Amino acid sequence: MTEQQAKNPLDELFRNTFESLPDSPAASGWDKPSDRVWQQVQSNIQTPQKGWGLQTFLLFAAIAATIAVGLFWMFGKPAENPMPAPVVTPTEQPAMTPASTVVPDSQPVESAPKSSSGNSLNKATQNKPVPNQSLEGPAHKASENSAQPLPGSKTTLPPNTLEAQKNKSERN
Amino acid sequence: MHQYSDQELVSGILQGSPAHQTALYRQFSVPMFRVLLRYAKDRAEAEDMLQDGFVRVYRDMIQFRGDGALGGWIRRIMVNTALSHLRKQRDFVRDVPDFNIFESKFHTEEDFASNLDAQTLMSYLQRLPPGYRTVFNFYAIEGFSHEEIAEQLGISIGTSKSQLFKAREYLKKILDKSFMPEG
Repeated sequence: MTEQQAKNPLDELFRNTFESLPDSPAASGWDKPSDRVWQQVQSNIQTPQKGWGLQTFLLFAAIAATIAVGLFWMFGKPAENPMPAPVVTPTEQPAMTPASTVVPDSQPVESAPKSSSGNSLNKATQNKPVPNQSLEGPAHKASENSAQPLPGSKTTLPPNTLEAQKNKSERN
Repeated sequence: MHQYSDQELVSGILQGSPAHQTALYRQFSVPMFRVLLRYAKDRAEAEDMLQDGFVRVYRDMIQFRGDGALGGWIRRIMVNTALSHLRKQRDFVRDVPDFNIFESKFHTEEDFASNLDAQTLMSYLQRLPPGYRTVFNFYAIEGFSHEEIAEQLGISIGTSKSQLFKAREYLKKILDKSFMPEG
């Protein structure tokens, strides 16, 4: 505190008056805060430790119960109206060979390819019945894993076959 | 009521003891409320400051290192809380242009009759504009220098001196009126 501060009588009056107050509040209560202040302070400083465990337990219990009920409804409850089996539409069907085009094994093959050299393997092949050429052709190979086209319909190869891809590349 | 020592209060509050929290409030609420009444414009504002100040005290109790008295540490928090409240008011340190300063009749300490009680002086102090009141509190009662006040309030030293001068004149004017004979 400077000398000038100590000399001012007005400052002295206020300082001495406020510093000489007794510890207890005045009887009129002008220097005593209302009870509302302490209540507000208490509500602000209350630590949430008390009751926190119970609240947490209840929270986790509620979550567990919800999950259990959900699982029961999903898996544990017998199905009253079972869902019909899904109809699977086969995209590829096994090749159906018409009976008229099947050549019996006993039928001799007249148009068997001639071998350029007469080795034993070719000879053995010549002796075996050779299926009809129409079944061995490229068109048949392309359609051996697909459904037979209707008579008169235009033959369209599935886009995922090697033959179709080969034709596509040739067109390009 | 059991009177705790500073160390007991601090350790008890750090452990979350409600009894120690209550004891601290009962021990310091009245003196701190008196301090805040000097900074506030009325009782309601002082109570708001007191509430915020005590919340800070409990929250920051771990920062009390025990170098000085606990009461001094709490008082600093209260004054800082009051300053935070006052800073929210726009331009709280400013001149009051329509204030007509005149020469006071009081010049000596003896002239200030000691009949004035603390409550009356407090009411006079609360009539001051916020800037005058704050600088007068800091300088005349808390004992800060103008350099410290300027740093605390973010104003120039000249402004601090000017606010103090006007605060004194304002208070003299009020005291003159209070002692002026009726009629």
